[in-house]
Amino acid sequence: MTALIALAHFTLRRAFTGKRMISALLLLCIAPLMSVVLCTSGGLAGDDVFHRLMIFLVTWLSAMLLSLIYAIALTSSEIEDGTASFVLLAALPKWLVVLVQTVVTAAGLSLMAAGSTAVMWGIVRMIGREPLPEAVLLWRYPFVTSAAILAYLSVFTFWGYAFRRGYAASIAVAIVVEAMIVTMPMKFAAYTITNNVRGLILSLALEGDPGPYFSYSLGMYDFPTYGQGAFFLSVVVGLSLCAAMVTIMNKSLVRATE
Amino acid sequence: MSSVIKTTKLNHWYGNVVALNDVTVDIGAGITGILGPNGAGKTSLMRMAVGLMRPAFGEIRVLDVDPWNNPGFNRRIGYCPEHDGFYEWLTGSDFVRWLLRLRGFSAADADRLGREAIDRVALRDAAGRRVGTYSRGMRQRLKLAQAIGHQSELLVLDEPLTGTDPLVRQELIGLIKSFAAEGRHVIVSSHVLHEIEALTQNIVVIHKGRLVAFGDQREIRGLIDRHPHAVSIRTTKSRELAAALAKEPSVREIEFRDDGLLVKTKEPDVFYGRFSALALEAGCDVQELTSPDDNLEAVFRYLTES
Amino acid sequence: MGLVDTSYQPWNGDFLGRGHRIAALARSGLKLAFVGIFTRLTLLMIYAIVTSLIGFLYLATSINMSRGLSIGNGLYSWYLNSGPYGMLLMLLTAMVGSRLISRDLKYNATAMYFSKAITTLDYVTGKFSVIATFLASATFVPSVALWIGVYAMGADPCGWGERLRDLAAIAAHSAIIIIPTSAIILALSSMSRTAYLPGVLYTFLYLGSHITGGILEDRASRPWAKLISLQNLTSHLGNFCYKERPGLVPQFQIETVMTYGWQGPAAILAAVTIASFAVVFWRLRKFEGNE
Repeated sequence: MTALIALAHFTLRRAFTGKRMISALLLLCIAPLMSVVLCTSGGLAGDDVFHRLMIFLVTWLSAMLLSLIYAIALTSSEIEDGTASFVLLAALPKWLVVLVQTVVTAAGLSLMAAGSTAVMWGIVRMIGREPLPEAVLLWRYPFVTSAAILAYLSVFTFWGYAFRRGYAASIAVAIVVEAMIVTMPMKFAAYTITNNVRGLILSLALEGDPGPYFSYSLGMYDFPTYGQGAFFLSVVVGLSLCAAMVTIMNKSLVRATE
Repeated sequence: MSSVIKTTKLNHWYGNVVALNDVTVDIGAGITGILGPNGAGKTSLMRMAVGLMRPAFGEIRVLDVDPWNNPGFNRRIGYCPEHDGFYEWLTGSDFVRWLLRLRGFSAADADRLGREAIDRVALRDAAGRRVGTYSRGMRQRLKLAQAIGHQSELLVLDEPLTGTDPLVRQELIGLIKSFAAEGRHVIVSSHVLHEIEALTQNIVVIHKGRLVAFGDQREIRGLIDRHPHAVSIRTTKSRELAAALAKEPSVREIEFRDDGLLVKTKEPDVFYGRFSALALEAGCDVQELTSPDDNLEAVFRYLTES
Repeated sequence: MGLVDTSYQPWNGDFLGRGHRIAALARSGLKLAFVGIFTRLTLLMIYAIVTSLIGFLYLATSINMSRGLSIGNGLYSWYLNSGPYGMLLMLLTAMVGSRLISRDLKYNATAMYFSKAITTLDYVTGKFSVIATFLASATFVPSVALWIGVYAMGADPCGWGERLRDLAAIAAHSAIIIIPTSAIILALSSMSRTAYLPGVLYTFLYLGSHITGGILEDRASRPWAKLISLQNLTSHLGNFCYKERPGLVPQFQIETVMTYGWQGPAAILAAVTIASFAVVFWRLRKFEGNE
């Protein structure tokens, strides 16, 4: 238990210091800054600004790239720097090390994203035009963002352990899929993390009304419902984490020297 | 327990490169030195011993257990890696303390043990500074500190003396010897042969992934038949002594030097046994009698030359 | 007979010029740039798009033989401005450019470089040459292949004067894409010792600027919204390179990206480029000369 707490504490400390933290803040500060610009440039309602920035920046681009930065930090960066050996020699099963690091990092990132959401909500409420975003969005959007972060982080972490050489390739494929294919009118687009996260948003934050936000054509299928989105994301997180744990139990992760 | 590390047909490869090739060795208690040129497979063997790497084929048992995926085992070993990887933003004491906590020690125990380990490696003055500001020697000492902090049974030290100045090196050699004196087992690798020699006579020699020799250094030297022992004799009557030695069956070769002779023999015990009588018969004064290759460097060279 | 000095003799032969040193830097960097299966696959995809377009032209001209097909020169700008192509180029830039300077910083290789007769300017020029040449292989070269394909398929009956003007336009359009992109990724790379961070930040910059510009333009109807997006800036400026020659295929016309002239976007791109280089020089200032 002591070792577990120490690992969780250290993971938080390591994740949220240094240039990585600066990058995270940068990725999360853009949305509040943009809300100021959009609210003051006129012509947009407050809740419209809030929804757009949450859907297209925070829960998508920022969540995905933040998860990518931290997944690389947990996996290939540790291996390359040679510090992975210290963590793997802890008095903890390796699968538990992976689980704790991923979950704790996701929790930390979710808290930061929730903070960014709260700041943006406050800005929009103060200077935005009517109608304004409701208070209930203060917990619904962070909930969805944390689901997105956990899903992306799990997938990238698994790839970081499994595909040491092809890691860059797998990340690039993920970005291409989540950035391009997600808006294409093909059935495969329903099986992207992004569209399932948006399914959660549609139910929780938009009360089922897609409005102008999901106007991209999904002609081949219906948008995922809350249940479908939650199920898909749970499966993705579960499978990715299990695969990551199995990988670390069976694969030598230290750098080859001699 | 008879074996500290026991390997059976241990094999491992990285892509097309064979790191370890059918290594079967039984390393006993005390200090054992692992020798080999760069790329021989020493680090791979050590990583398997501490459970960081899994052999592609074969078996390794350390302290009678399989080290792979064995978190309980991690408390019984201390590992000082060769590579220089730290969390640069941590202070030295934080680094050692955190690793102790990862091994399950409470905060109070981790503090106490961490301080003791830092003191033992003479790093107290720099312990409060960030690791990123440390010199090479300090980083080596910090690596040792984290390896010894939890008072493990077995210490696996991969090139612990690299990058240290001569004074620090002597200190660390003394430290390693004191670990063994406390009853711990120590496996240490180094390229600096005379320092291994200063630590232990038990060696394991690996070359190109293969086990070349293991055991007592002198016994290994005796087994290297293709290289006769060299004996250097300083005397003023070289010709007379050479004439007497030439009749001796155990002498293979005699070479004249400025101040004496260099004799090569395949039976050093027999030669030494007969030498006094031969020198007396020849009426020669013997000012000095030494063996230039009765050292680890010669053993290593003979074993690893292709 | 005299004594021959066999001690160390300093080199008293000729030294090659600065350009050769920069070229040596660039050559070594380029070798590394093309390593990696994903980089090559992405380049392959870019060339596959060009090959498909040429194949399409072949079919189109075969069918239209009696009437004659005139594709115009909008195809070149359409290709370089298209969304999927931009995405692939973004990935290549992020992957190759992010480690150019960050790796040297991480492994203290800058000390090695600056201990030779290499100034900061030489170093930056060499690194810029690496990323610019690499991006040229993904922009200019496939566009030239397309240009050759259009001519070979007889898809654009025009004089050589117009054809060569199109080639110059392609070169200028490619330069408009390459120069600011290279500068930005070099600046990001110089700011971190971690190889992946600059790549991720560049991706965020590229996609984020496009998204925020889209939001601003779509909902706020502000014409200046498009100026935020790097993709829009390079597309808009690139279009000015061509002397429009409309064709019979409406999809391959030069599309108006924004209502501004070329001066504003050019000033923005120039400012971004200069600022990026300033960041690079600022970051490297302490590695040259005495510390």
